[in-house]
Amino acid sequence: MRMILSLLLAGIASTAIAQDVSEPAPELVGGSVRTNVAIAVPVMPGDALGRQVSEVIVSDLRSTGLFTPLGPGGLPGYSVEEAGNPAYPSWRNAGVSALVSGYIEPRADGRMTVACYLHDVTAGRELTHQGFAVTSANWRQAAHKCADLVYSRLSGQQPFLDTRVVYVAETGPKNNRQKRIALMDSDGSNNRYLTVGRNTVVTPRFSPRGDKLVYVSYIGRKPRVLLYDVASGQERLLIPGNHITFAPRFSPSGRDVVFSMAENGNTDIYMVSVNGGQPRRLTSAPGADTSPSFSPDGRQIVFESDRSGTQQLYVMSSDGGGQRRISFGGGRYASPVWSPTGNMIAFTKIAGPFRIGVMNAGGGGERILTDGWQDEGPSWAPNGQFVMFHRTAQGAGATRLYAVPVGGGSARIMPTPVGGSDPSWSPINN
Amino acid sequence: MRMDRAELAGTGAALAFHAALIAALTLSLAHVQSTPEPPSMEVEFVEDVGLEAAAPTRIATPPPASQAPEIGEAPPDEPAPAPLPPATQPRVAPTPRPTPKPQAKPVQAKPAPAKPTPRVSRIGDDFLKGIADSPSKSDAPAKPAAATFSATARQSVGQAILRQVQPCADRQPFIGEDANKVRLTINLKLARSGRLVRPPTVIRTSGDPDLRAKYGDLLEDQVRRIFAQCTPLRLPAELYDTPTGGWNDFTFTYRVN
Repeated sequence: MRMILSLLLAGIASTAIAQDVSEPAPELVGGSVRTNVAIAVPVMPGDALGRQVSEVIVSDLRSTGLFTPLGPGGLPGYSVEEAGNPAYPSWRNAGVSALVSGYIEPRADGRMTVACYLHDVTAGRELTHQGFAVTSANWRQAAHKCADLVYSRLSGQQPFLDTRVVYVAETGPKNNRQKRIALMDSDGSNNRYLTVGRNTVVTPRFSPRGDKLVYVSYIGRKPRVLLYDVASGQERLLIPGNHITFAPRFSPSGRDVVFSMAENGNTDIYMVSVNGGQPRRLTSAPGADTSPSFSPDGRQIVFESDRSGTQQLYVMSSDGGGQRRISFGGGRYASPVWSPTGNMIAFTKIAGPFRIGVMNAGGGGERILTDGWQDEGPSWAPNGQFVMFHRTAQGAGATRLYAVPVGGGSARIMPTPVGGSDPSWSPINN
Repeated sequence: MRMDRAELAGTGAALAFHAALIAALTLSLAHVQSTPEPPSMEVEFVEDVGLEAAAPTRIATPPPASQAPEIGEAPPDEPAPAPLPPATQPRVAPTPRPTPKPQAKPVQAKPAPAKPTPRVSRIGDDFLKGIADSPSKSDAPAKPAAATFSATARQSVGQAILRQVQPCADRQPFIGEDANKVRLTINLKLARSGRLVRPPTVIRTSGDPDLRAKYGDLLEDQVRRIFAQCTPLRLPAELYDTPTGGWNDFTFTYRVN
């Protein structure tokens, strides 16, 4: 009987307790509308350069594919004081979600400050601001920095707009093409040639700090790896002697270079210090092992090899151990590059046409990003969100640089003054 | 294990008492007084103005003396002169007013004024005038019954808030493939007008640390935009602040799909 009473009372008590248990917080689920954010970029006040700075910001933001920038033409101006305190209602009426404002101010040291503000017009608040001190000759860099600030704050991604691109500038007919190393800002401005075109050059690659290059020059019809100092223009052979060396790339520390060397009819991957010394051999399998690329942590190297009969991708540890194949998708794979984020590898897929694709760093998850007739030579943007490559047009053989978003979208052509191939994206400028 | 006489007597009494209690509750619940059909004019008022707050108001037990503030448009922060009373009116002791004049139609004057039948419509006769309900039996001013913010009321108000801001949430742009793995817990402090007292506050961010760092600010931006665009909220006034809680303080979670 006591048990019955206990159960009865327990039941009543549990019912009462159940009524007091707090409900989980209700959930609001936001949409994920695939639409570009409309951003107003009016002319920055304070200096005659204001309009040009705003124009570069507009161009940069448009190139990301995430925004629909408006201006600077056709938008109302504002005062220096209003840069940090805009009239939000009037910008709302203009139909934009965000506003990039700022001003240009001379400094006592002769340089100028470009102040950059980003506002959420809808919420009516400032999201971020930053000032950039530059010489008047470097005003474009301040504009790129401002665009990076906006891109990063609104996308959550690392910046990539204030960067440079080194590539092979190609001029002349198909059967007598002149190839020179060229360097430009990532928006195509400030293009300059680093070599004169006496020797054919290919595969220039930036060092992790962007202060050096390695590339291949055909000297006496033999490919040789050269090390180039960007500031001084000095260059030297990476491996002295008469060796056939090619496909160089820096280690993440910048202290070593991995490359391919052909000896006794076999091509293997080696590593050597940028200061010289004896190269260390990392592969020895029969066949051609080439196009090595470090993982960003420096522990692994992805490369291509035809040891199985066709070109495929392999991964090994940085001392050459644990070599294993990671490409199994059919067709051939070439020119792998590890992403700066470490989780993906870009490659050239050869299955009829040449296409640029990405796969997981451990293999699998393959996605083809481009649809050209001959797309090859991928290079990652420093934030891992874009891959630049060169596309050869069918028939004419003209090559141009393109960049494609890894998350999906169309490839856009890069504005180079002449044809280009073998791009390498620099790290963010200091 | 045997029970002595006293235990038996006590147990028997307890069982008898419970049986009687259950029977009494059952019978009393079964005798719900049937409510007469409301006058036709009152039904028309409900259809005109009762759309927005119909669900949240139904949870209030019993309804307040005056319904006008909760079903009209939310008053602005600066109360403007308008025929509708301000949201705080039910809390102010109304001054005795003369009984509204009977309606022109004779049929509406039929109900005996001495003992009003229980009101079914939530809209008072004086809705358009914005004055207090008719006095009840005594001549003393009608005293609004205290509303309670029960679990059901809390749930209904929460649904009403989310329903009103959902159109703005639906417009938020895509920010990343893995952004849906981050969830914010947001607290709102609301004024009686349905506007925010201060910007939405993130009290917790859950998810992978890297993703939280990447998307936390962007999701907070979205929440701020949503409540900038889709406020003021229209919610039952009597549930704004009760002894058991109210929608003046509201917490919810936010994520993207």
